[in-house]
Amino acid sequence: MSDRLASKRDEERQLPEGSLPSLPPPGVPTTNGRCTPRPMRHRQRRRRPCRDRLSAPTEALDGGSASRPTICVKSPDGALTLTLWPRPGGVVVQRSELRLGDRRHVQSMLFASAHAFVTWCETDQLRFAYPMLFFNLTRSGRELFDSAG
Amino acid sequence: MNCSTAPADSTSLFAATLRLDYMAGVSAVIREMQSAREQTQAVELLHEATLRMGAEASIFASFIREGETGRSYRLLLACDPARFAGDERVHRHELDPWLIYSQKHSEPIRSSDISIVGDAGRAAVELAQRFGFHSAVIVPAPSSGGLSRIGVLCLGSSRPGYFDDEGYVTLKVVARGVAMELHEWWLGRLREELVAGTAITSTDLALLNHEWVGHTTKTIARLLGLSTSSVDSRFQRLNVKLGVTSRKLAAQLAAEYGLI
Repeated sequence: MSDRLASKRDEERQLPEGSLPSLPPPGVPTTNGRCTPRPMRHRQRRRRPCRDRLSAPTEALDGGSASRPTICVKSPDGALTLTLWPRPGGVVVQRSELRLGDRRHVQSMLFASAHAFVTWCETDQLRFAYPMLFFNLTRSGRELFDSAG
Repeated sequence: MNCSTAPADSTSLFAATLRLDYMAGVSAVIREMQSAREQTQAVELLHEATLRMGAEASIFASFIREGETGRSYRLLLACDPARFAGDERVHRHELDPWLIYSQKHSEPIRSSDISIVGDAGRAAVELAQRFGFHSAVIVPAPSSGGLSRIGVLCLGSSRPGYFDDEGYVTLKVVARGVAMELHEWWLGRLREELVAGTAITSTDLALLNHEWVGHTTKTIARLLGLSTSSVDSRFQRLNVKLGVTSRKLAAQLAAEYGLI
């Protein structure tokens, strides 16, 4: 075994300058004695839990479309997500909230004016739980309406 | 969206339904729903359909049970969102008399014809009035096969008794079409979301289908030419993928989303 490793080291030394030696197959020790990590098997990769499938960001659903969400804000705990899309008639907002008892509430609505949007933000009961999120949301939403004219 | 027709006459529902382009206008929106790819389009089309049907506001609600405890309520709003935001959070959907009606019936009905039981039911109706639904028509979009998923279109007006005139008969016809189309559209979106999020394969679906019709492990193994342990391990992987604790729940979830 030691002879095989020694001959392998000799082969590597003969490589032209600047070229990198190819890595040994997974499980075979390299010159520093460490093994190349085995790639994650297909089956293992598929075993990863997908419990958050329903909280998948909506932009993934609109893949390939012209109207990608312009603004997407999320609470630090992931319980509340708000996504804003500019549209010709105003701004479409999707509010997704994970409530107690594993209940997901998703609302989608169209705001025709910045005033209506700000009023809506100011009446949301979660604005006290996530004040920074709603501050940023209100400001970003106003900018979105301003840019849409 | 190319909806150039003006909104329906708001003097009375009957006057709105007498317009020559009433049916054609709503049908045009239904056709557009079939090709809508984005949620933004669906919200706009619901707004357009609401006006063309002669109503002032509407909410399309979709409910699906997910796993043992999970539930999802998805709402498309074509009403004043600011009115909706303040109180909606305290609203208990499972006690909403309109939703309860939709779980048990397929016929459209005026809200005034639904008997309200209990304080929770009365609170729900008062909440709807605060949203601007002083009179309403509830249009269920049911699912077959004992599934929990339902859709319900609530058309509203700020005028009490607005839906009581003769136009109601015509409205029922077109509103059913809109409700069913929205229900189909929403389910298609959820299905895409589930498939994209879990990377579920056609082989997985075949397994779930066997489970859904009640086949045992031995039967499934014989039909698919697999060993029983292989079938069991495949189901275990499927449970992890779908985030449920049993193969029965996995099959139920797939059925609720229309995958099997």
